[in-house]
Amino acid sequence: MLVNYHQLNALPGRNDPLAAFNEFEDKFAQFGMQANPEFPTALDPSAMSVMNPGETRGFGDVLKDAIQGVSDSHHHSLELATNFSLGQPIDPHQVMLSVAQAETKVHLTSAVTTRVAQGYQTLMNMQI
Amino acid sequence: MGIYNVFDVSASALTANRFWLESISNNMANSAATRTPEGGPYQRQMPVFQTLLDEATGQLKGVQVVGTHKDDTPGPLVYKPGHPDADPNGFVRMPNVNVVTEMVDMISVQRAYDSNVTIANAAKNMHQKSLEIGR
Repeated sequence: MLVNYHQLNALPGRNDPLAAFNEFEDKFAQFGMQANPEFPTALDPSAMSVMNPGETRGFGDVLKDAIQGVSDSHHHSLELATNFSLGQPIDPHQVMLSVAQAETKVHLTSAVTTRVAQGYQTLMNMQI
Repeated sequence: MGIYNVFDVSASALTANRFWLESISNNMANSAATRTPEGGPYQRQMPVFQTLLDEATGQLKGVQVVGTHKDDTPGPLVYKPGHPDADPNGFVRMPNVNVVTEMVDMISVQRAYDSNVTIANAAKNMHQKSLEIGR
């Protein structure tokens, strides 16, 4: 597929973004990282579950939702491409657009996770 | 509105353009058809487009085809005495399809399709560029 998983492949559970993420999340949970509830979520809002006021959600939950959305979008594009190759009456532009959408989402997610991982590493390398 | 809405809007426009091309190819294919299931010569068909509105948010979500309109102007009378559909005077009522008009429409469809693909690509490039912020 056109979607590439460079960043996610660096983590265990190569073929499944969610499995890779669970591993990733455990590492962050050790340090009790929490997302600011007022911080707007940068990823597709439809992929996020609604947050009740007063409820605190970990950074992990936000990321997990986002990755679930990316995973769904990727599966959807894969399904369309498979059906298209099987000769189903699907418009080629619909296949290409869903692939482009999935690709963009994966890039965005991997950029965010890389940035967070960099921040974590910077903190860990601090001289005390 | 999700940031991926542009893709959906472009997809709706591309589907509409594909439908338009379909009716053009129908017109061209039937440009000499003097018989139709409902009787009489073929009448030129054209799609009717309507903006797609999201009732809940009041935002535009692209375009959709709501149906085809039949052009009712009578076609030209052509003198063809041997034709099975000729009247007693030897005249045949031909379809009102003008091949030149259809070609012009086809070029418009092609250009519109190109434009919408360009827009989808621009949206994708913008997303990718945004990842470079602060790098």
